[in-house]
Amino acid sequence: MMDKGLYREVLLDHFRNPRNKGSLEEGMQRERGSNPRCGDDIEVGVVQVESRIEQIRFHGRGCSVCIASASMMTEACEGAPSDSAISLCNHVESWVGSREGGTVPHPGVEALDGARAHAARHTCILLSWRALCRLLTADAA
Amino acid sequence: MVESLASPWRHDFPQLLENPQLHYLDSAATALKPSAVVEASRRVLSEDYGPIHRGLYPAAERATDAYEAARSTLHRFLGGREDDCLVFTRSATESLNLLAEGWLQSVLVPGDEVWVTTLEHHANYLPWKRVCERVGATLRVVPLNTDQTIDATQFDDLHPRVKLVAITAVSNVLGVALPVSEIAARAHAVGALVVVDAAQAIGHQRIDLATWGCDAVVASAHKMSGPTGIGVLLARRSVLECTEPLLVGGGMVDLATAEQPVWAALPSKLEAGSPNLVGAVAMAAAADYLSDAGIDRVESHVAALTHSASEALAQLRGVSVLALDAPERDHGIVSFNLDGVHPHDVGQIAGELGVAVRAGHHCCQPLMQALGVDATVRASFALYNDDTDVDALVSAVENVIDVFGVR
Repeated sequence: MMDKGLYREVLLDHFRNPRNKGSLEEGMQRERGSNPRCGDDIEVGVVQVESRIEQIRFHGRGCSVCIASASMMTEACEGAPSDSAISLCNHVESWVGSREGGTVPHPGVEALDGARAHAARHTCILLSWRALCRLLTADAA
Repeated sequence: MVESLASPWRHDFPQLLENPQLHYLDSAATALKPSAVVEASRRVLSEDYGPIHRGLYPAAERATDAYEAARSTLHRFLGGREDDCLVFTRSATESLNLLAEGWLQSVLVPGDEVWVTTLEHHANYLPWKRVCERVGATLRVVPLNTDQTIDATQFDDLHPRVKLVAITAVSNVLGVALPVSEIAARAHAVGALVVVDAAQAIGHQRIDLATWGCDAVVASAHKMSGPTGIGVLLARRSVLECTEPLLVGGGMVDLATAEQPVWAALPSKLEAGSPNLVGAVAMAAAADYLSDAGIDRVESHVAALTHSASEALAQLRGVSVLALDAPERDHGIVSFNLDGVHPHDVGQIAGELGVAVRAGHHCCQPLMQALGVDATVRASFALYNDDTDVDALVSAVENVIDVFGVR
């Protein structure tokens, strides 16, 4: 239906059928991201084994961009070395902040290209990525 | 389709003439400017510019006259009485903070109360809350009725420990009006002062401090098609005499070298620094424009558009219009939500279709909490809107329903 602009079919699919969304299991490392200005509120949970993200999930509520971005993040990071995931979080942060151009950080987040053009949606895109980055960085420290 | 609601004022707004595809339904955030305001700003900047209350030459005298004429125009426009005084501020927000810090702080004692309502904008909530907490007084928030309104009987329990009742004239989220006069009568019966936040009402409703019988009213120019950066506080002179200035400096002091500086007389005491000449003149031009349009005609037009939009939206699948059954609701604002779709997504898609609406908490988090929502979509109307804007809004929401497959 829409393959350009913000509401691309891939993004809407991640919103309607979010991957790895549901209750966080006991024992997972958790980090919350919330934006009281709009009500977006999610929690990311990971299981790391030997500095690798063995499992990653999220739950919570948010707009389509927030939920889709979190869903894409879990797909992009599952199985990745933790330090690579931190690098990816940072790359996504700078890619979004630049609003256009630059190298797509991961094929799985390309559908966020339309959303990053809108500065007002940056917090929506980055809520889950920032939470994951805080979690992994604190753990590595 | 809705009945024809053409606007005789639409062509006065350059931004709409330049952008015929724009359906601007965010006037509650900030209203577009008519040519009269643009021209008044240009004229004062290019012909009548000079210092105010500071020069002895013709340009300075013209500037001072223009500034004081603007004060008089706005005093009349807001229904000020002879013993009221109008002070220029940066905004309604600053006006409320000035009253809170400069007046309330000095009259409250521990155990006193200030009453506000759940409908208040943060600007008519946080300034009072901060002073109450500092002093050890209580801020009471009058709750919403089941029909999402506030009525005067909720103020029957006012008592002599209540020093201030601060209410909005119209909710900036629900578009419902409060019975200001009836509330004021109850407040005065126990000796409490009444402050009215008219920021939301001022662009499309008569503001009449005298008829309301209130003690102070605040407003911002930009919500009545004037410029940003200027607002007013119109209040009883006796209240302002007891109000300490928030800012001290030039223009507000008669004797600065004394151990205890002597403040200037009102209104200068509360207008430190070089006054905002352009803002004041343009705000007065906006008031003149609305007066010439006929504020009662404007109110009827805006009410008809609001009613039409809320009725049409309520018919759409998955749409919940807030305060739909409230008796006093058609004051320029329709707030709604769409099942399963975040307001930001509604606002974004509407924006891509040329329909400018607001999505968020509208600086009313206590109200959002009471309504049990994080945010709403808000369409707000002004005199320049017409039925094509209502149609475009409805069409945009239908588009969102399709994109998100709302069932």
